[in-house]
Amino acid sequence: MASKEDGLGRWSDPGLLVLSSLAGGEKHGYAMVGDIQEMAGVHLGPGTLYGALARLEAQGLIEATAAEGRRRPYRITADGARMLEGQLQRMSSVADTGLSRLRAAESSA
Amino acid sequence: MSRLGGLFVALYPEPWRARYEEEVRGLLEDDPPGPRGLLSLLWGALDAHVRPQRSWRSNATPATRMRMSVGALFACWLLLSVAGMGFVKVTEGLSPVEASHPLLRVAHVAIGAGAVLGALTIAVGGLPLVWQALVRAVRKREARLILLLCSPVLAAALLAGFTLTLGAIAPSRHEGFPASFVLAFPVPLMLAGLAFTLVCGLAPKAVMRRTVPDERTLRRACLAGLVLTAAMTVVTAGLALYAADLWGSSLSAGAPASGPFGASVRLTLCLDLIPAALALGTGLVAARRALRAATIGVF
Repeated sequence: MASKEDGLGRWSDPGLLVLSSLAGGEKHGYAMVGDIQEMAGVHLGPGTLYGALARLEAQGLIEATAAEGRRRPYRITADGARMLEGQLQRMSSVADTGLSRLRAAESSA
Repeated sequence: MSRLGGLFVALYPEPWRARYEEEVRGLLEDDPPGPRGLLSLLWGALDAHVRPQRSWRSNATPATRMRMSVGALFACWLLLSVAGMGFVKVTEGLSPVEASHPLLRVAHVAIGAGAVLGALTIAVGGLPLVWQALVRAVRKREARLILLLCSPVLAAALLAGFTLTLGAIAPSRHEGFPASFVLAFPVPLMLAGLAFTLVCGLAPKAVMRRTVPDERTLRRACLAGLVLTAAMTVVTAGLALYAADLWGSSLSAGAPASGPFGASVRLTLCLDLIPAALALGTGLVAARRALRAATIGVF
């Protein structure tokens, strides 16, 4: 879980968090907020969340499904899943490299 | 907080609200926002205006886009006017300096010319819209619309009264008050200016939302908006030139080094550039959108 001490802004990018949340199944806004809070320890404000949703929808990475009253669920598209996978693999590669370098530095110290 | 959030949602562009408003209001009920959530709404509204997304922007008819753009242009002009009023106040005693610095005089003349051009453009393009709104308000006895139409004038009167009162009671540094106390006085003035700008920025948009001017009047207003943008460019360039030249020059004897409330004239002018630049930048974006909306179907 990300903590406030993380200075790496990209890890808490709202778009990335929304895609990661939707990768687990379609959700409406309130469910996304809760899921992201649990997953990443980040609470997205309504303006931030819907700013991200609007951008992702415009890029075709997510799509809205049929509304249930005032709640409209979103789901990730195939393009969105591809984009998310690529981004997470790059981040995973950076994470692995960083951790192995840290361990090497610790063992040589 | 949820009610305040609902008010902030009203700041978003009309096509955005047509697409997302219901969902966002539902979210605000389920998860009432705190102060940070409210700030995210404000920031999101600004972002939606500056960077509209294709997915919801395409919902807007040309008439809606023209209405939005014209409202935004008027709000930008009002913001620039606030910066202009600040410039006038700060440079009150600088005539001796301008007499010996031609570039300052040129900049001052440019600012004045831009202001006159802008005012004329507002009259040509904006008054027909105001007239249509006023006729509708009176005919249908819409008190709220009448209040919205009068709100910029009322806000200007309140700001002027507040400024004069503050100027009368604010002590100068020379009266033995510490500098920190004296310099605190611009803070309520800036807040009052901000409130005035918000009223003047939101009122035209609210009026445009409630009234539906005919397309011909809207197109004329959009084209006038292009001239208004040129006027705003001249004013902002003049402000920048004045501030830059003054920064490098020495103030002649008798000319005040301090503006109102004891703040440095040079620094105040530089700070004055911030709202001017913001107004011009946003105005250019709005003018481009207005032109595109006004010329749809023409070519």
